[in-house]
Formats: sequence, structure tokens, C-alpha cells
Amino acid sequence: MREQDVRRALLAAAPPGEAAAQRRSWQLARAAFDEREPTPWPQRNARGLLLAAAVVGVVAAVLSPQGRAVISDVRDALATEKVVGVPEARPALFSLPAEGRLLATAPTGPWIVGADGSKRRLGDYDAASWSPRGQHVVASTRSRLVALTPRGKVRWSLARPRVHDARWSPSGFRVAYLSGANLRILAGDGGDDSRVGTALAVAPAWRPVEEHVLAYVDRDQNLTVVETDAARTLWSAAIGPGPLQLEWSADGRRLLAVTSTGGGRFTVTVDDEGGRRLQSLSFPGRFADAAFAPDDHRIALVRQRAGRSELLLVDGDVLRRQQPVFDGAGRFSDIAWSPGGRWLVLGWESADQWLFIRSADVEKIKAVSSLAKQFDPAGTGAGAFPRIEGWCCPG
Amino acid sequence: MAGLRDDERAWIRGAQAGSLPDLEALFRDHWTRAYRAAYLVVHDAAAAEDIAQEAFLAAIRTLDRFDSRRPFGPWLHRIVVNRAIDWARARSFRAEVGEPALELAGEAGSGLPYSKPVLAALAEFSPEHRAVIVLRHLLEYTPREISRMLDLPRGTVNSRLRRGLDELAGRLEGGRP
Repeated sequence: MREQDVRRALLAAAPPGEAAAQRRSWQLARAAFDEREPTPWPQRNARGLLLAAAVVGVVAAVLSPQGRAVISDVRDALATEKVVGVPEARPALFSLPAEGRLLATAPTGPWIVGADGSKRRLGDYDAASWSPRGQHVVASTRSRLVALTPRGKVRWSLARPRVHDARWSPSGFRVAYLSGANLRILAGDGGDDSRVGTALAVAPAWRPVEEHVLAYVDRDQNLTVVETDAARTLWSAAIGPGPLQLEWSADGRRLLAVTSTGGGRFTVTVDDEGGRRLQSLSFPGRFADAAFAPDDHRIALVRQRAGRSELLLVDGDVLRRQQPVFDGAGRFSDIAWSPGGRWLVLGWESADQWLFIRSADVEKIKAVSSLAKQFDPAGTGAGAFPRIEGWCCPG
Repeated sequence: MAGLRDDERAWIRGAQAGSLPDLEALFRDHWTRAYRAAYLVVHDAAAAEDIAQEAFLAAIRTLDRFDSRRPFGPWLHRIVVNRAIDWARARSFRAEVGEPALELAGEAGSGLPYSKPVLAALAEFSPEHRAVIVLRHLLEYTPREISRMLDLPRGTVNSRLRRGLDELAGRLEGGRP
């Protein structure tokens, strides 16, 4: 055998799907190129020019009587709309009230908050969620899925278009994520990426107690539960348009689905592990977030209604059994349970506070303020309220 | 292989200045070889796609800093082949995943007698060994260039090439009816 024979054989070998792979890669390369395209000088400096123009405008306005009157009106309006939150909130996060670590995503990227209040930024990513034992975080940008250590070191990375809603399986051996409208799964070490099907844009949910059983909403608006390793659908049930959240109870026996039903209402449904619908209840207001307690079927549910927000504790077996926990002006954004289930952390976006609430009877509240600033220490101005992604296991 | 054509230099400069057609020309000129090289090392089409894709995305991210006097291919192939080796090694540690059979699209119609047996025989080598063979016989790098790209002693590259060719010949001749 000669070298030429080997070369001819290698050249003749076209791997399967080569043309389609090339098309997909080119689309992604083109998108990446569009994002980095060099801009001419005026555009590059547009921000500075606009800022200078704005400063000149503001100075001119302040110097005129009409301008002073307008500014006074604006100041009054801001004062009346401001949400104060819990008084005597701590100005900084000194410690968490329970064991574990918080994962939060701000415009500056995902951060891990340690039990001692220390914060570590993981990098320039848009979203993140914990691996089951908190040893890793799966994070994403628009075009990339990345596994990170809690110190921010990249373990593996995968380029995919329009990545969002990645979730690590309880076993640690699989990661499910959405790439555009495609639900995909890969191994926990970043290999064996494969497509499961077409899905609506709501985060898929792994069943906690069974390996590699995943719930998602397919493109036909069915809540679908699949055994991913066998590529087998276990059950599927119509859920309607506007899915907002899916979540399993910690024992894997209840599956919560929240959908927007329009007209200022949302619907909460609870199915058992076999797909039998146990409960369905329509709630007034706008849904913000929900989380099963780690030790039973209680659901902490956050909704907004008529300029106020409310945290409710709902019995997942009897949805009409509801216990109001806390309410306040403006917008509550998200909720998470501490690992032991003794504390809840509530994001109060309008007050720029996190509230740590001990038990549903509100035995104690610890409030921390100035969150947007705390997660933007360099003062980039990107500051916006951080989203709570999860409160995980001790480090 | 290390030579730099004028058109490639022009594409790099054009892409650096923001020209999409130049980027596309560069992409089309290099993608197939990058993808096939990755595939021949990892034997997994999805992984090969990701590896080639990531190499191009890395190239685009660093395009402004790329020296247009240097050839693009070796830089790209170095990333591709090393990532492919890493991927194949990582897979070998995964107990639940077996080595898939090498699939080839349109291979049967290639009319080349050695194509399928050569590729099947290639699958028997380690990923590192495959990488050396692919760099030499598919991408046409010299042993010296391969030793630099893979950070291997030149003697190791030469011996792997020699042994690869011998083993391929032996297996193919032994397998003939």
C-alpha cells in the first residue's frame, strides 16, 4: 500500500450529513461575525457623543425656569413611585442565613454567593443553573453552552445557536438545553450531543428520583415526559399555549406546570408521575416564579397583581389550600428554597432587595438591599436586579 | 501545506475589514477539510461538527488579531486536531458509550477500492495515532509541521506514520479474499 492510496481513500470519505453540517456551521459563523463586525469611528464613539449631547441638554434644561419645573415634577413622581422595601435592610450581603450557596444571574453575568456572603463572578454568560451537587454550573450565552466549576473554570464548551434554559440531570450524567426551538441533550462531560425534538421556550425539567426522565413542552403544546436514554415517550398531555414553568417535586411524584391563560390570569396544573392530572387551578394576576419545597409538595408561588406582589405557599396536593406569606408594593421576581427547606429567598425587584424569610409563618425576615449595585461592583452601569437561579448544596 | 496563497491573504484582510463574502470564501475553503479531519479522529459526526464549528468561531473571535501574513490552515487545523484528540480521549473514559461504527456518506459510490477498508482500519488506531495519519495524508503536512502542531518529537511522528502505513497495509492485505 502506498501513501497515495491512503490519501485517496481519506479524500473520498465524506462523513454523513456533511453538507447540512456545513450549512449549520456557516450560519453560526456568520452570526458570530455579524456580532464582531468592526464599526466605523462615528458609530464606535456614538455612545460618548450621545452622552455629551445629553449632558449639554440637561445643563441647558436645568438653567431655564421651565427646565427646573420639569425636573421638580419628575423628582416628585419618582419619590411617590419608589418602593421602600423592608426597613433596616442590610446594605450588603454578609452571610446567608442557612447552609449552601446561591446562584444568581445579573447583567454582569452569573455569580455564586457563598454562605459567608462572598461573591464570585463566573464570567460573561447570560444564564446559569447548578449541577445536582453544586460541583458545576452550566451556563450559556446566545451561541454557547459551557460547564464551569464554581470558581469559573471552563470544563467544556459547546457552540450551538440560540442556547437557553440548560438544566443538569439529577444523576449528573446528562444536560438538557434548548437551542432555538430544538430540545437537545448531551452527556455531563460535554459529549454525545443529540436532538430530542422540537420544544416550546420553557426550561425542561428532569425528574429528580429517576435517571434521565425529562419533562418538556413540545411544539404541539403537549406536556411531554420522555425517558431520554431509550428515546421513549412515557406520557404526553395537552397543556395549551403559553407555558411558563415546569418543575418536579423533590420526590418526583408531582409535576407542576404553569401556563399563561390570558386576561390577567395563569393556570397551575399538577400531574402525578404517570401523567394523571391531579389538580388544575386558575389564579388571578401575573405569574412570576414557583418552587417546590425540598421535603414535601408545598409550592412557593410568586405572583404580581394590581401594582403589588404576593408570595403564597400553595399545597401541591390541594391547590386551593393557600397560605399568604408576604406581600409588598411593586414587583417580586423570583423565589428559591434553602437546601434544608427552612428558609426562602424572595427577590423583590422594585425594592432592590432580597428577603430571606424563615418558614412560612415568617418567624424572621432578613433583608439585604442594593442588590443591583452589589452585583455590578465595577459600576459598569449594567446594573439591574439579579435573578435568583437556585440555592444549592454546601460547597 | 504551509504556503500562503494570495487569495487567502486577501480573504483574511477582507474579513478583518468586515467583509462577509471574504469570510465566506475563507470558510468554504477550509471547512470541509477541518470537518473531515475532526471526523476521522473522533468518528462521530455531531462531535466533528462541533469541533470544526468551535475552531471557526475561535478564529472569528480572534480575527482582528490574526496576522494576515501567516497561513490560516495550520492555525485552524492545529485547533481542530487537538480538540478532536481531547474529545476522543474524554469519550474513552465514558463507560456507557461505545465506539460507534464509522459511517460514511456516499462511500459506496466513491469507486475507490481502498476507501472503506482503509477507514475501518484507521478506526483501530488510537486518537493520537489517527491524528498523525490524518494530518499527514489528508491535510498534507510534513512530519516536521505535524510534530510542531501536536507538540510531539519528530521521531515519534515518523514512527507513527511508518507504523500506520505498515499496519494499514497488513490489515488490508490480510483481509483480502
